[in-house]
Parts: sequence; structure tokens; C-alpha cells
Amino acid sequence: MFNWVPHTAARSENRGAAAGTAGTVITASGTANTKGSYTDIGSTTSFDYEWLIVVAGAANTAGNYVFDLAISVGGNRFIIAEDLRFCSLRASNQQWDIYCLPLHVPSGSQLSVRCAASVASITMQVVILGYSSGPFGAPGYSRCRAFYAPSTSRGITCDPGAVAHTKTRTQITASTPDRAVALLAYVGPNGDVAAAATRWLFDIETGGAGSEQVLLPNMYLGRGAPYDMPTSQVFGPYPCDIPASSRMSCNIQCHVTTAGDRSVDVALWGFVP
Amino acid sequence: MFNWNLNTAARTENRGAITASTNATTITSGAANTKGSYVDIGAVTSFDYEAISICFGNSSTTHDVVFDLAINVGGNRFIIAEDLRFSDLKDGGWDRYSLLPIHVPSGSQISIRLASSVASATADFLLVGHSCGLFGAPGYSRMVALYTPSTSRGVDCDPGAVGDTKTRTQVTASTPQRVVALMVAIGGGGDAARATTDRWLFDIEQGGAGSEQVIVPNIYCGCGSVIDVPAQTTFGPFPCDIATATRLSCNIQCNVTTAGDRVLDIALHGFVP
Repeated sequence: MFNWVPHTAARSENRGAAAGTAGTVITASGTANTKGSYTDIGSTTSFDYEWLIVVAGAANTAGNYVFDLAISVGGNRFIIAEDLRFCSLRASNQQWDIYCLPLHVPSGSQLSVRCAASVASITMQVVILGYSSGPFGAPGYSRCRAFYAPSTSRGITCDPGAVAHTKTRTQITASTPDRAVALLAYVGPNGDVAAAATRWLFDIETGGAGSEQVLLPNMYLGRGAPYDMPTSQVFGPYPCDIPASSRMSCNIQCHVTTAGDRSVDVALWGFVP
Repeated sequence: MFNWNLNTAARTENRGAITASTNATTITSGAANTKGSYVDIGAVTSFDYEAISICFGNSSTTHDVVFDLAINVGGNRFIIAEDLRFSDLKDGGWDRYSLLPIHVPSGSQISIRLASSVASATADFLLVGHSCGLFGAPGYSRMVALYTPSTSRGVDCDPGAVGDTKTRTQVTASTPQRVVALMVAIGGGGDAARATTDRWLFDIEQGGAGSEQVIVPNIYCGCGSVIDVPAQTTFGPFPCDIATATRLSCNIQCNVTTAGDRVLDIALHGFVP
């Protein structure tokens, strides 16, 4: 699978762009926070992808979403990126989230997406760009695993606490399911979209309670009026090497102390070599 | 310079965070659309970086911004990423460049200067240095602007008065260097009072007029009528191989036809091997 491809020959193709300047519509299940059916994203891939750009946007209703990206080869469907986050909680048609995913997709695969949402039967749209190599001609990893368990179609609530400018740690997962060599994070507004201007600094850490080591130091995020939620919520992917069964946590501080306003929800993913 | 590092040994460090106030390093612009003075971002780097993440936000006003990232080694300052974009036309914009594959030698003093559409405006910046890129990849030598900023934003690309139909705009007549990865940044095209929901699909192309070839096909983005500008504004990096002296253009369509509302500004950057 790990084939290096000179990017002098980089190819790209789009899957999912639709008439009416739109993407492919994905409909959530009729039950809130439950995955719906898979929807194919365009036709099958015409060459091996090693780098994917996944764009999620155009929510028809304000809501939180998590979605799985899967491939079907020879009649078998595999999830290659699980529980990716898309948050358009402030308003419909407002948020667009863009993921760069170093993943291998074999030629001839049918890409498909299914989603769960905090509101039953609402829709989002997806467009995917496939590349024949990553930067530096790098190959893609095998899959992207969620390092969190979604709750009400969002990440893990991280509350910096009632003391400003002071970090508070929250466990995101007790045990990662696989070794990961690249890390992706998403920070959403945790259900609060009526907040004053807010700034956060947060660390992503690995290790047991009391012996955490910082992987990502003091990432910076904020929001202001009138949008009331972070505008850009995807962080990474970042190089790392996290063994399987690692504990992951987020250590976060905020400049405001208002309950609710100060909290975010954090989702993490790891790329499996 | 091209040293591959195992990402089993990936290291990170933060430069520019101000934990005492949950803030980052403040940079002030000069006269309108004129770069101000360089401001150092934290202490000198303690190891070689092969990738950099930049987080920014907390503007003093709504504005368009372009900024230069420079390093100072042995008393000489070099710009390693020029005219990066920060679109903050509606209060509350925060964004980042995740993992720019750029090499920074150990012992470098990193600094930033910015130009704003508003005189003496400020924005806050911090960065995280990574000892390797994805797959242990080294960084490229620098990142060059493939456009000429105008009023501190990118090149306005107008899809025209016919909905859902592409119109091409030249972004640069001639690239200054060969580049092997491409970044795309978008902005509101100076319009922060849109009447309705906008969606865009756009191609980035290379080649002379009439013989353009698509490099990035149908990137999808949009915005609603709460913040009226796209929320996530940076795309890439995209692998490519674009020769020196190449013409680049953007071929864009929009679902709305209202003059002004339908326009995006596009900035392109390339990584030099």
C-alpha cells in the first residue's frame, strides 16, 4: 500500500460536486444521533488516491454532525475515516469544514458517506478531492480512527473551569484503539452558540493520569460576535507516534469564566500506518 | 536541508502563546495596506522545524490581512512564507494554517509583520513547530506568494451574472519559482453584507489563456447570512508540480448572481523545493 508517487505526476479528481453549485446531499437518520444510510459520492475512483480533501458544508438545518467516510471495493464496505465532525450549529448553510486526510484509496473504489446529526433527518453536503500523492509524493495511511466516542453528535466536552487563564484537563479517550502516526483534532462550540468573545489555549496530551505528555502545545482558538462559534474548527493532521491503548486528554484554558461560554467539545482522530 | 526524520521521534514546541492572558503575540499593521514592523514570535527555535502550524485571530477590528513569516539567522532576515492571508471581515474570524511543510533551522528567531486594510490594526499570532512533516517528511525551503495582494486581500474572482456557470480569472501571469505543493486561501472579496446563502465551486488551473489545465478541481465552499464571509478559509496543501513562469487562474461558479455577493478573493501560495 505504501507506494511513493513522484508528484511531478500528481493527478487529482473531484467526486461529489453537483449541479446547482452544490455537493452531494447526505441525510441523517430519522432518529437523532444515529447514523443514516450511506450515500455514494460520485462515481468510482479512477486512480489510487494517497491524499484526500473532504469538504463538508451546506447544512440545511443548524445542527451537530458526525459522519463516516467509507469505500466499497469488490462488494465489501470499509470505513476509512470514522466519526469526522461537522458543526453548523449557529445557522443553516453557514459553516464549511475542510479536512486534509492522508489516506490511501484504491483505484476503482466507491466512496460513500453516512452521517448522524443532533436533529433527525437533516442534511449536509460533501465534496471530495482525490490526489495521487501527498505532499513530497507521500503515500496515504490505511485509515483514520476516531479517538473519542461521539456524544449527541459532537465531541467530548472540555470545560476550562471557573478560573480564567488556568488549564483544566479532560480525558478524551481512556485507550486508543490503534497506533497512530498522525493526529487530527476538531474543536467545536459544545452546543453554545450565544456567547461573548472567547479565546482558548489548549494542549493535546498523551499518557496516564498525572504523567501526561504534551503532543500539541497551546493551540490557539477563539470566537466573536456575531457568529458565536469558532469559524475554523479543524486542526491538523500533525505528525506524531501514539501507541495503541494510549490515554488522550485535552488541557484547556479560557479567558472568560462564564459557564457554558467557556466550554468547547473536542474530537480527536489518529491515522493508522 | 532535506532531512527525513522518523515521526516516532516527532517533537513540537510553541512560540508566541501568552498563557497569562490566554492570548498570542500581537502584531500591528502600518498605514492601510502597508506592512508594519516585524515582531518576534517567542524565543528562538530549539530544534529544526520541518513543518509549521500558524494560528491567528483576535483582531482589533474587522479587516483583511496579509502577513509575512520570516526567520532571522545570524543577523540576516529571510521571508519563508510571504503574503499569507487572514480574512477577518466580520468580527470573530479565527483561522490557521495547519502544518505548512517549511524547514526552519534550529536557533532561528521567527517574526511576523502584517499589512491590513485598516491602518494600525492588530491581530494575534502564534505558531507550533514540528520536527517532521507527515510520514517524517522534511520541509520545503520556503513558501512564495503566487498572487499580488490588493488592499490586503487576494485577487477578486467574479463568477459573473449567470448562476452556476464558471468564469475564469487570472491569479498570476507568471509564477516566480517552481513549486511542488499549493495552498489556496479565500476571502470575502470585500463583501461582508451578503443577502443570502452563497455556495461556490472553483477550479485552480495552470496554463496559458485558452489551454488551462485543472490542478485542483471543484473546491467547495460557502457561507450564510450570519457572518456573510466563508468560515474556514485555508485549503491545502495540494501536491503538484508547477514550473516557473506558469500562468495560474481560478475558474469559479456561484449559485447566486448578485453583484458583490458572488465575488470571492483568492490567494495562492506555492512551496519551493
